[in-house]
This record gives sequence, structure tokens and C-alpha cells, in this order.
Amino acid sequence: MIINLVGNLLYQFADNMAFLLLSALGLIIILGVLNIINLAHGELIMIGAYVASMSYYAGFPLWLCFVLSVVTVSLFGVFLERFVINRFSENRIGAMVATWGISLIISQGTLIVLGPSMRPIPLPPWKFSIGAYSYSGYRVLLFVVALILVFVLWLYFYKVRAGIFTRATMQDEEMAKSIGINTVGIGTLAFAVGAGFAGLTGALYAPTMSLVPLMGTVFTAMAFITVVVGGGANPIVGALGSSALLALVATPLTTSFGTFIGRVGLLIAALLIIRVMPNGISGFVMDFRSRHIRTVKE
Amino acid sequence: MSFFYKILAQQGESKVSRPFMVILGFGLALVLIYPAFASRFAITNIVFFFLFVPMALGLSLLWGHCGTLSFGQVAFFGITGYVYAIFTINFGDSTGMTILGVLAGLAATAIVAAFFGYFVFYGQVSAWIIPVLTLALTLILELFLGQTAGYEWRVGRALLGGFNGINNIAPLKLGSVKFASGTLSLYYFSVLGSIILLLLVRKLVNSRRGAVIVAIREDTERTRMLGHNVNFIQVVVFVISALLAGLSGLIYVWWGNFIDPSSVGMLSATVPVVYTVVGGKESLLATMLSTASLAFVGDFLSAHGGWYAILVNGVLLLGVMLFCPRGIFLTIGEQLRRAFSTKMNTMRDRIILETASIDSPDAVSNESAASSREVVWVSGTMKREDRPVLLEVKNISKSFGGINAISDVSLTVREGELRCLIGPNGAGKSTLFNLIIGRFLSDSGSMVFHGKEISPLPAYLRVRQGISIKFQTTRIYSGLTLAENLDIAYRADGDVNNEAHMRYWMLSMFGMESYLYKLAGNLTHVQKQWLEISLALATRPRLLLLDEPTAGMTPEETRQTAELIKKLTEKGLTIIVIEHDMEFIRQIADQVTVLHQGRVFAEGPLSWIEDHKEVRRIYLGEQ
Repeated sequence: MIINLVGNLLYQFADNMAFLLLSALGLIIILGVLNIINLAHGELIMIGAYVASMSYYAGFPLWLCFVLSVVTVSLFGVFLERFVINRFSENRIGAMVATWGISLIISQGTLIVLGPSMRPIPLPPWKFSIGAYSYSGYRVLLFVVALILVFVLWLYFYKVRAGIFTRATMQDEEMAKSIGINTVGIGTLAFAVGAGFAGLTGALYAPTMSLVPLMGTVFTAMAFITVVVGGGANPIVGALGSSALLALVATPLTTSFGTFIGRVGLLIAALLIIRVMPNGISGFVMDFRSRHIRTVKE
Repeated sequence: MSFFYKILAQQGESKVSRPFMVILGFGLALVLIYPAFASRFAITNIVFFFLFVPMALGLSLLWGHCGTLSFGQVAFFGITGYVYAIFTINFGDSTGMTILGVLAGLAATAIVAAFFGYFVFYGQVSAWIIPVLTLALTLILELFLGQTAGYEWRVGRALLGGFNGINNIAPLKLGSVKFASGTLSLYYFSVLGSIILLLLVRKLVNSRRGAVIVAIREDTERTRMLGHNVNFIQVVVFVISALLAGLSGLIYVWWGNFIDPSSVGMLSATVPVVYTVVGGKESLLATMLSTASLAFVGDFLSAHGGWYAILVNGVLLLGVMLFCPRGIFLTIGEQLRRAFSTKMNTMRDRIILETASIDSPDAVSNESAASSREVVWVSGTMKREDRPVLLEVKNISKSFGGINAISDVSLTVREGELRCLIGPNGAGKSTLFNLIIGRFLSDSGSMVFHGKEISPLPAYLRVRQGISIKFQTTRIYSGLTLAENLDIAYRADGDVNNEAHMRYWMLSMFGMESYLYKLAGNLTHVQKQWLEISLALATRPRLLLLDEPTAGMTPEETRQTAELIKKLTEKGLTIIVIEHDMEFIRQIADQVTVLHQGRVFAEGPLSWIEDHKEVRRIYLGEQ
């Protein structure tokens, strides 16, 4: 009895957290490095899912479909950054509005060119059970993949030289520029990586849902809330902390009252959290840490 | 054609110009006689084109004037429409009930907007969070309403109806007049209502309060430090814009007799943003014109397939943001203005000359000497020890995370005193200023200012008590003239009679009186610092906090600033100065307080401080 309940709650928690984390990761990287909210994020996810579906029915194995999605959407991200985002370095809200224009063009263009839906990818039939219930192994895989992505991101930010340059750019772009860091290149790279994560998210969730041009909105509402709660100061701390916290809020609400109450609960939770931590979890943590480090030095 | 430029670029003009009246009269006449020639179908269409005007005006007010972008206007549009529908379905469509339904719908919107606004504006979140959260609100509302199909989702007798929405909604009824689709009453209501709203919002924006709203957009923190309750004003503007969106929602349900989740959703959320972006968010009239014309274009395109209308919206958003970020209608207006600019400039110069001659220096100095404002500042003839205490800081502490930025600091400042605050970098000087003005709240300790405990007060109330600050990095309103800059400061008594003299007096102290009608952004670095001191003085403080007033100045300019500060203290103003420049401190010195590692390290007259061995070691760098 207890094991059924605990198993179910753990599974739901992992499922919710994976969804929030994968939805938000690409968005929060772009926010952290470029200080821009990419409102076309949902459409990048949609492109990822569409590319996965098309390549799946072209006969490629599933893993290769995922790789193709990531590559395609990353390249598209480079294109967007070079031709649009780049021109808004001084006007962040302007960039946001422009990316919204892009999102409308992509979703409506897809609708006009490819029609109202895309053939879904069948869900891999992996099952396992805890107690009396059986669960989808694919969804657990999503959770594991989400954690691996965070780990890869951590390796990049803290173990690779380019990662240190990226963090330097995030802290003080002018300073980074003047010691010879190619901040423009880092911006493009960050946008490409953020877009690539979005593409992967789309591909990973393609087997679990119906593929329609507006499918991105399913992800974006949650991604926005996760990013607001996480804050852009440190993408890793922000994404991980915020998705875990929000999954803790959403899991009991969703299991007892349904998905929609769960989502309203998340919005209210986000409002309460930013009242206390206006810069999100990562802003709060970074503030604490940087001041702490200063004391230690003195 | 010559009058278009004036009415299109109307921000900052205080009067309704004659061309505006002409256009308005012409438009009104057209609107009134149009039904005589038009079919019922055409009238119904016109209502549709004007239906989004209130929502777009609200967004222009919120975004273009107050600087906060919201993607959630359609959420308020939808909430009002749904609540009105639910109310009238339950209580009938009589005159009283439809009016109550309108009030219920608007009240629901106001409550949601105030709740939402409280958290985001009092949290003082970054600029990008509000658009993102309002968009999330819209998306969640759409998802919620979309899944309400079925009998279990009902309020009283009203079924929410899922994706089908609510149908057969009764229009507003006033006695025998029904504001139903296709009627002349709805036509006049929406078209005349839009014009009246334009005038009302325009009046608000051009008023003194409107100047503060625009000042919030330009520099939120500076405006807060000029004594305005910025968070509250932002919430109020947010609620007003939500109510305007709600009004559009009401006209929408009267016009079409139905409402469904798609009118609340992602794609509809684009509509008001596109209208304001294409029109020019900083101009209400441009927004209104673009709203009516784009609704027309959108309607035309929808006839050829709804997807194309949305696609065109996307292309418009991207294109305008890339190539014409101020908005197409506004840019055209400004181009016209430039074409006629020679005429404009001569007119404007004449006006400035006339205004300037009224404020002749003699008249001003005579009157301001007699002006009661200066009497507030006590005379500086008393000995220091005999003067009453103005600011008493007792054992305040402030820590951030792990570090104690300020620990157990006490400070007593008497009226008319000039106190210098020195100390190495990171000693907590600016933090102490922020604690005194209220940008940070202290963890413990008390602060008594002029006999009143101020430590629990928010910053704007402390400014109103008589504390004022000049920031370390210069912060002024670059896009406004010097006169407008000085106008923005909060006035407790709402006194505007002496204003011209006040401005003149403050600027003439700095020798800047001839720049009064020039843009602040064109001043030199030093003049900007002086203007910021004038701004701080414009709140009529008893205590002035100056954070490094001479940074980046030449020795001569430093000397002038020192003169000025001395002159201010002679008039009785109490001043605390943070400085690093010892030469400057020698010129003005009175009492000096040395902060070190968040504590008061030494305090006394300058000569004593300069001979103090430990101070020389930690601060002046001697071994």
C-alpha cells in the first residue's frame, strides 16, 4: 500500500521535474548568457519534434532522429541569432517582441505548409512496475536524460575553458570583451546550444504527445514559470533548483486535483517566490555565495 | 497635411493643440453621419474595428508610457467577458442585471490584475519577468477554459463549454435601448467610447501624474528616490490597463454574443501587442489609428483564411521591431514633423524666450529670498553642539548572505551640519546611505529622523519626510528638459505656484539657468551631476545625501561644487557627503566619520582625523 503510493509519487515527481527541466533548460541558458527571453522557444521545440517525426518515418533509428533534431534546431538557432537577436543587444524587451513575431511566423508557416498535424512517433513500449502499478520506462529515461544534460552543462561551465569565458561574459560583458573574449561568438554559441536543447526536448517528447504546430505552448507556459523562479544568474542552479521546487508543488496538486489546478498552483507559487526572491533561486544563491566568498578572502 | 505631425507625436505636449481639435471634430462628424449612408453590415464591421481600441490604449499606457510590457491583456479581456456572460446567464438580461454584470466583470478583472500586480511590482522584479508571467497567465487561462467541456464545469446555470465557449450572451440593456450586434446604439457606444477613452487617457498622460508615469519608464529607481510611491503607481496603471482590456472584452461579447477560449489564448494575445507596436507605443493616437486600420486588414485577411492573418501579424511584429522600432504610424508622424520642423522650431524658440523673460533673475532672487521654502532650513548661526539632532542612527546592522556590510553603526547628525563619510572601498559607505534612504531595510537598530522613527518606512516615504539622495552614478532623465526633470520631484503640498522660481533658483546656483528648456541628455558630465543635485534638492529635503558628488570632475569643477555645498549648508541644509578626494574634503570639512569594514572607526574634526595614526594607516595608505 505504502509502496504503491510512494512509488507513484516518486514517478510523478520525476516525470514533472523532467518536463519542467527539459522545457526550461534551453530558455534559461539563453537568458543567462544573452539576457534575452526567447519567446520562439516553444516553436523551436515543435521543430525538434517535427524533424524527429519526419526522420523517423524516413526510416532512421530513434536515436539518430534525436541527433538530427538537435543539429537542425541548433543550426536554425545560429541563423536566428546572427540575423535577428544580434541586432537587439541594447533593447532586451524589443528582442522579446521580435522573437514572438518569429514564433508566430514559424507556427503559422508550419500550419500552412505542413497542415494541422504530423504523424506521431510510437512510444517505446518499455515497462516496469513498483508495487501494484506499472510505469512507462521511457518517461524515466527522460528524467535520466534531463539530469545528464544538466551534468554536461556543469562540465561545460566549470571544467572547460570556453565555459569560463562564458561565465565571464555573463558577469560583465564589457570587461570580458576588453580582455579579448569573443563575446559575440559566445552569444551565438549560447543561442545555438539553447536552441539545440529545445530541439532535443521536442524530439524526446515527440513519442508522448500529438504533434501539432501549436504544441510548443504546452511547454512554454511551464518553461516560463520555471525560468522566472530559477532566474538567469546561474542557469544550472536556476534550472535544477526551480524544476525540483516546482515539481514538489505540482506533484501533489496534480495527483489530487488534476493537471490544470497543478498549473494554476505553479503560477501562484511563482508569484509568491518572486515576491521573496525577485531574482529567482539562482539570483538568491549567487548573491549569498559571492558575498560569502568575499568574506573568506578578507 | 501639416497638422498630422502634431497630433501623432503628442507626448509631452501639455495642451490639446488646434490641429488635434480639427481632426477630432472632423472624425466625430464622420462617425455621427456615417450610419446614414452605411448598411447594417458595414456598421457591425466598424464596431469590430473599434472594439480593440480600449485594450490597445491600455497597453500603450502600460508599456509605452509606464515601461511595462504585458502579454496578458487578453486574459483580462477574457476574464471580463466570461464573468459578464456567467452573471447575465444566471441573473437575467434586464437593465439592472446587465449593468451589474458589467460591474462584476470589471471587478473580477481588477481583482486579478491587482493581485498579480501586487506580487510583480512590489517584488520589484526585472523587466523581462512581467511579460513572461503575463503570457503564462494567458496560456494557463486558455488551457483551463479549453478543458471545461461537460456538465461538471458550470457556474450556477452557466456552462463554461470548453472549446465551444459560451453562446447566446445577452448584450447590455439600458431601458429600452439594447447594445446588441448591428444596432446603432452599440455602434455609437464603441466608436464614441473609443474617442472619449483616447481623450481621457491622453489627459492622464499629459497631467502631472502622467509625467511621473513616464518618469518611471525612464528611470524607476530615480523616480522612487524623488518621493513617489512607484510600486503603487505601477499597480494602479496595470489595473487601469486591465480594465481597459476588460472593456474591449465586454464590447466583444455584446457584439458577437459569444466568447470562447481562443479569444483568451496565445494567438489572441498577439493582437494588442501588434497594434501598439505597429502604431507606436509611445503615442496614444498612433496606437488608436493603427488598431482600427489593422483590425480592418486582419478582417480582410481572415476572409482568405485565418492562418494568413496571424502570419501577417508575426511578420509585422518582426519587421517593425527590426526596421522601425518606434512604430510605423509614429515614425510617419515624426517624419512629417521633421519636414515642417523649421516652422515648428521658430515657434518653439519664441515661446521659450517669452517664458524665460518672465523668470528674470532679479525677480526670482527677490521672491525666492522671501519664499517660505527656505525657512524650513534652520539658520546656521547656532553653534554645532546647540543645534537640534536631525538624524540619529543607533546600532544599525545589515548583512547580505554571509557578510556583515554594516555592523552596529551609530551616527548623530545635527541640523545644518556638513558631515563627510570616508573609508576604503567596501567599508559600507554606500550601504549606509542606502539604509538611511530606505533602499535597503536594516536588520536591526533604529533610525530617528527629525524626531520620528523611520527604519520601518519604505524609501519614498523617507523622501517625503525630507531625506534626499544623489546617486554615485549620475541618474537623470536624459530624454526630458531640465525644467521637466525638476518638475517630476514629489511635492508634499502640491504647490506649483512657486515652481518656476524654484527651478530657476536651483539651476542658477549652478549657472545653468539658460539650459532650462534644453534636453538633460545634452549636458556635460559635470552639469549632469549638478542637475542631479538639483533634482535631489527639488524634493525640498532637510537632509541631503551626496554619494561622490565630484567623481570625474576637474580640480576647478571640484572647487565650484565645494563652494556650492558650502552655500547650501550656510542656508541651513544638512548634508552628508561620501568622498574619496581629500582635497575636496579639506575644502568643505566640518565633521568627518571614518567607516572601516562596516563599522565606525573614528569620528571627529578633519584635523584630528588627519593626524589619527590608525586612520592614516588604513585609509591614507601610510605604513
